[in-house]
Amino acid sequence: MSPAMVGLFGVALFFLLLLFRMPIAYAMALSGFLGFSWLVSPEAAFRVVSKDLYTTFSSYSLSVIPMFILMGFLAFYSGIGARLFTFAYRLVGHYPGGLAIATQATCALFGAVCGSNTATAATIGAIAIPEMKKYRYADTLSTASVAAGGALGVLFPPSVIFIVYGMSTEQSIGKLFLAGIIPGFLLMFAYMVTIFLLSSRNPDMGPTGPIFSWRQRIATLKGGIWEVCAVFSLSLGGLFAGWFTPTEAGAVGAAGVFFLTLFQGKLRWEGLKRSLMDSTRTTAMIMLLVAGAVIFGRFMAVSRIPFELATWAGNLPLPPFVVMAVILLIYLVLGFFIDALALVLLTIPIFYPVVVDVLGYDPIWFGVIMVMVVAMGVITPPVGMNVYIIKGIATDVPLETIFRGIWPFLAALIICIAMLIAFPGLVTMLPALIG
Amino acid sequence: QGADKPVTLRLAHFFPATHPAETELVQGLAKALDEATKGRLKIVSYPGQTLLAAPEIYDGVVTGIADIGLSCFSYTRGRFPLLEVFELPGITYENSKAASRVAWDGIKALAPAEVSDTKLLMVLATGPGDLFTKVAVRTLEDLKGLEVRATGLSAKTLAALGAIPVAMPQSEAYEALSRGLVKGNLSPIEVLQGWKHAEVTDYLTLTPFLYNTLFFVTMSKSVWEGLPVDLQAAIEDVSERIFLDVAMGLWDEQNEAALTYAVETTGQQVITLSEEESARWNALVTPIQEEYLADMERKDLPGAEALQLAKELSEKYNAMY
Amino acid sequence: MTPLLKQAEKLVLAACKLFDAVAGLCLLAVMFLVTANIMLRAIWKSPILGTYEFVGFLTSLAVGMSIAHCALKNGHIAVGFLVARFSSRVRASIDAMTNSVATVFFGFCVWQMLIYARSFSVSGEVGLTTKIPFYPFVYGMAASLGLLCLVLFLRTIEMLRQAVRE
Ligand code: NA
Ligand code: NA
Repeated sequence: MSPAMVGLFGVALFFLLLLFRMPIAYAMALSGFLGFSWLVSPEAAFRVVSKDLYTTFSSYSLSVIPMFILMGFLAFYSGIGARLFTFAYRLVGHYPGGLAIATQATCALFGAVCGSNTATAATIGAIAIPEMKKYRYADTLSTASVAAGGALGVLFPPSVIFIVYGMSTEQSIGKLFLAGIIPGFLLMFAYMVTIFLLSSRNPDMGPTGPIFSWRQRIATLKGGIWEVCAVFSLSLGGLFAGWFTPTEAGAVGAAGVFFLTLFQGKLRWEGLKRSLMDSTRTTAMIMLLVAGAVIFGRFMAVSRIPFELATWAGNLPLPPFVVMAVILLIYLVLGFFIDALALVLLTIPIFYPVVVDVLGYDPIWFGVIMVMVVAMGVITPPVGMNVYIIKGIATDVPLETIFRGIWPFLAALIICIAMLIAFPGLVTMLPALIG
Repeated sequence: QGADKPVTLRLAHFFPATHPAETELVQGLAKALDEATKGRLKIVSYPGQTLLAAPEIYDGVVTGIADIGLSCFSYTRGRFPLLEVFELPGITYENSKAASRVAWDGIKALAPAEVSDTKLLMVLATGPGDLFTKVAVRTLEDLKGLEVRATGLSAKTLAALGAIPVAMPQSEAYEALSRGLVKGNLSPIEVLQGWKHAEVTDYLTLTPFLYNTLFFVTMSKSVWEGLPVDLQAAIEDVSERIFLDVAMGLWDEQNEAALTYAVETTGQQVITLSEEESARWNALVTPIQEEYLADMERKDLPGAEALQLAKELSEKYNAMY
Repeated sequence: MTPLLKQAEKLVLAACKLFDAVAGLCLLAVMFLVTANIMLRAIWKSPILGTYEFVGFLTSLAVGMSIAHCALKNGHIAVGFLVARFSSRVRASIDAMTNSVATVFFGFCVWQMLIYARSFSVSGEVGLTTKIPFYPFVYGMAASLGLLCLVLFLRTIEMLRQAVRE
């Protein structure tokens, strides 16, 4: 049997295990392990599993994820999140889907301190989803919008994926960071419009609230919005002033919320205990998923499927934009099964020379397209990391419900990608300013 | 039996697919082996950590995940104690050719037990690492209290010189430099262009006695022993040739290109230390060599012999290249 | 339920809670360590040199030691729409099957993780800057996976009993 065939069998096995209700992380690790055993050897496959479990769990760069999650739960249990949403509700709650729209802006703001898709979805999710539930927003809208909004965390600098892309293609990370800003705003507005349209057509999705006077709105500010502003300014300011790195920003944010609420007496022992327990549970869930995806990615690598697909696409005798469309389609399909970051690492080596050298596209532009592609991968079923994470936070919402809510956001995302292909200037304008 | 069926070997490394380590070294090795064995030996490369994470590559070769691996000895500190001798500060390497010859000849002569669980094909080195900084470093006083990115042995070296070593992955260094969290980096000049550090630093102090990093290309022992004698001979032959023609000068080539880029495109200012100043720096890092010797004595390894050899060979090859 | 099994369940539950508490403390430790390091670096210019490695070690403990508790609370998410259509008896049988497969798989993983940890202690690999050996943390990972295995095993038995009883 050819390695590619074994690869397809592995994917099929993964699906079978999923259908039998095996936890997704186990299913990825197990089918990845079996496939690797087949193609290489059981001894080697066991070592791959041991290594990837330990290496993923002890990764310095990934340590930012638990820290931001801790920050999210501390904010939730101390009531900061609730007060923030009371303010938002009084401000925009009378528009259809107003709170979900405000959440998108929050994702974008948070993206200015957090460089990770996953951490953005988890942190904002921990605060926003219970609040939206309180104001009777439909589960499909509240969960799916945060899962999709996580992508804003990587489009706005700092950004893990831009760093990975810059590393593996030797492109300027500074230029990549600038290039993400306009597409970031574009995607944010696209998501906001999507939410507005969905909620206007179906008022049960994001029900409108009463209109509050400015006095009532300002009254909630005293309730502690300034705390949030303080922690946020500290994180953003410190990041810009060079006091700490984007990886360290997670711990700074968590410590900021921790001390603030501690000194105000808002964080009690019970709240701290629950924050910690929810954080460890969510962290364990996410990191085991990441490790499972890495193990499955190793199997995909030795099956050579991504490499063969890339080579095939690169040799198509078609005009560049058609080949580009085919490549994006491949990413969409591969993104169904392979975790986004693993996908970038696996395919950049082969697609990058094709897109830049053969088709003649701008390398910075392709970097932004990669981030958009990753944004698709993390919300499409069955392997959609952000959706899993949201599921881990909103434990009472079925996974299928979240995926059902995803489609309009996926459509918005695809329209954005099409716009970036049609008008590459949206990406290249800002980086051109610094030469 | 099976003489016509080609042997396919998985080669794992961490360099990006566009890096010369892949395009020139790995692909060069693959092509030369293919030709030398008339297609009986194929190498499939897994660049960019797609098969194994950088620190896992050596162990991955031992346990059969990959058949061949290319990575740094220093990523797995403690596993190769004797070989640290070739990365000690206080020994000058003029360029990567000299540094690579010293390391490879030295390892062949020492035949250390710590690498006997695989079949080493070649060892290459980056050669000198230099300080690129946001403020000019002309004397030790300029370096004192300066935050410089470094991990492992380099952190110790910088601490000995009075700088403040700050540990972070190379992937975070650009951001940290641009925001001023660290004011410098100690690395081969290649990083100025490859990682774009020239965009965020202004000065380059040449310090050819502070830094060196070794890379290995090594093969699974059981795979090696399972190959027919003529293929083994071909591999040894080709590896030695690729070492001389491509590997040992690989970093010199990149360093030169990066220096031109940094000076001409970004206006990097190059600083050469005076002889007295260099002597002051060297004096401060010698204790690290002594610490190495004491450590080897504890572990019952021939540290003194290794250090002597590294010093002799470096003089010989610095003069030659 | 047999008293022995009940006793075992109580023990495993207690162990999961203990491990989870340690994991939570590790999270707090990372938070304090990183912020302390930033302040020491910015104000007194003397950072804690090993922060980079300690964060890795502590995070591995935080993640590893909370995995079993997460499994106990059904925190590792799964796709349930197909199985939900079946009768509770079929459901229990399917869950018994997947849990037993997972038990065996992670059982092998524990064994291999022990071998991996041993290989670290033999090769003498240590942290890059502080030279702290990291095999203890790999042993910690093996222990965490072992506890996960116990949780899965008890879940298998519970599901089997349900399938038989109903
Ligand atoms: Na960001
Ligand atoms: Na997906």
